[in-house]
Amino acid sequence: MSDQDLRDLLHDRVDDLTSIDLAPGAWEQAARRRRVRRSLVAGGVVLAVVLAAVTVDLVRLPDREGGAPMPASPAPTPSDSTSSTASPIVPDATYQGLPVWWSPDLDEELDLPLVPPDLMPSWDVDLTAEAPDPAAAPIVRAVAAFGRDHSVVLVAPSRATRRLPVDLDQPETDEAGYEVSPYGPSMLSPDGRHLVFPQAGSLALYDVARHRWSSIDVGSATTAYVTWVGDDQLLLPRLPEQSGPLYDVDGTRVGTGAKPPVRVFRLQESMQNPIGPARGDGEGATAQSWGMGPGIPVRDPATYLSGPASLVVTGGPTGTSVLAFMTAIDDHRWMDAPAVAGWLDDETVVYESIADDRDLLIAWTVGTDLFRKVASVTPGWTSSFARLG
Amino acid sequence: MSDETGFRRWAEERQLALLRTAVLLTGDRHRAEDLVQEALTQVALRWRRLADEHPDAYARQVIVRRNISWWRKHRREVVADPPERGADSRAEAYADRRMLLDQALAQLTPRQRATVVLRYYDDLSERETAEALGVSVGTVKSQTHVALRRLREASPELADLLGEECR
Repeated sequence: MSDQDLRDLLHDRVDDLTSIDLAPGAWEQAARRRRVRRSLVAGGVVLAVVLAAVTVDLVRLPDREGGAPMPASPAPTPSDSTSSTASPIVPDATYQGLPVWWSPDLDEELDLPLVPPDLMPSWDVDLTAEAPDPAAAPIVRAVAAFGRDHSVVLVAPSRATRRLPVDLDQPETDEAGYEVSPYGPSMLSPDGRHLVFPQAGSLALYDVARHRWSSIDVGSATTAYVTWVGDDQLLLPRLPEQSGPLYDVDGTRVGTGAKPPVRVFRLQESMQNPIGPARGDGEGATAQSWGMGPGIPVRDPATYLSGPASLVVTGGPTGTSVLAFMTAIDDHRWMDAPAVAGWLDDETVVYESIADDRDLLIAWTVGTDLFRKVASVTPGWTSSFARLG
Repeated sequence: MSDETGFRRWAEERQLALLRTAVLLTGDRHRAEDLVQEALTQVALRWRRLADEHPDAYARQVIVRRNISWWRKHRREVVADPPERGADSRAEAYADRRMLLDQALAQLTPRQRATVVLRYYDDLSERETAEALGVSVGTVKSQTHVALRRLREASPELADLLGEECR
């Protein structure tokens, strides 16, 4: 093989590649990073002044019920903002021998500090605002997708948004005959490169990077519970057996599959229903939200609903940890929330807290009382998340 | 011309070439797109300084070095069986040749692979290749030598196939 042979071979290998236009997204992302840098510099100056005067606990919640204030952990500094600064602490309560931490309530959520931008740039997304069509301003992938009516808003890793018009006219129905919304938590693929929408007898697929729609004919299989298996395969499970036909994203039928077993921990067998999908961190930990669980202690029984919904993390380095969601008796936290949105890293899980007036993504450093706000999104849209970290 | 217009013009003109280089470096279209996106972003961040200098070289440097960093972080995850060969036939020679090239390139370390791609695809000099990789010219020479030997050892069939087509 001569040098010229090798040159020819390499050119031949990629000559037929075509490109999507990445320039607009790159310029937007650069502009956003400049803004973050400016705010970090400004924030660093302010924080330095504050630290010179007082010791501040930026992350701890207000004092627990009737007890002594928790010892303050050191306030984070700009230089170490990527790592958790929460020290190992005694849990707020125990339940069935497991450590329980109490979440911020709806009022406290609004005052949480933002997650450090180098761990994940925070979002503040107005889903009703104008956003370019991905056909005009392509993005490679999305970290989140929000669907409502006839559009899906995609959030790119740069936090730029795109509005995708969705025109689907063959709604799937469930066993009871009700129409199934095309939008659901499994809409966006884990790698953020595809969207899938259930239709009667078919799946509508959208390739984010190539702005290309396609359809997979699935015959009589139900598409109501379509879910991703890995980044490139789609499972159409039937209930209750959870198995069904499996398709590659290119439409090839590859056989029959079943949902991969997920190791989750249910606090009270048969008493709780799962909320949203279980999500793993890729390192062995899995997080799953559960509906109201009688007996789980709350911070103040006179203020908060007893037996709250919870989020249980298993398989992580800190063992099993329970996060109990504090919901004041007159609050309007949605019953089917908070669901787990994903992981920022192997110690930080993100959940979506939804109430009538907000949709927030909140990061919890597992096994601590460190909570930070990741995103604020217009409420009322159906969300779906790719891998966040 | 505004900064953004200038950047977009440059990026639209050069992104396909960068993508091709990135695909050869990674063997993975999706990761190649991510690398190019990041490289363009890095260039955009420094556009005023780079516009009159060498944005291509800087973008290539970002792609090459980030790919090596990515590989160092994920190398334990890369487990792939070589695809089975199809029956030999003239009609399949083209596909075979691509597959053999992919398999042969996969045998190289990311730095060796980058050396081959930058020298023989992008036609960079040894000095330019060294600058892209952040190594000495001597390292480029030695890596090139080792990489070519490994390519030939990894895929004698590829050399044979090329030889047949050249006859």
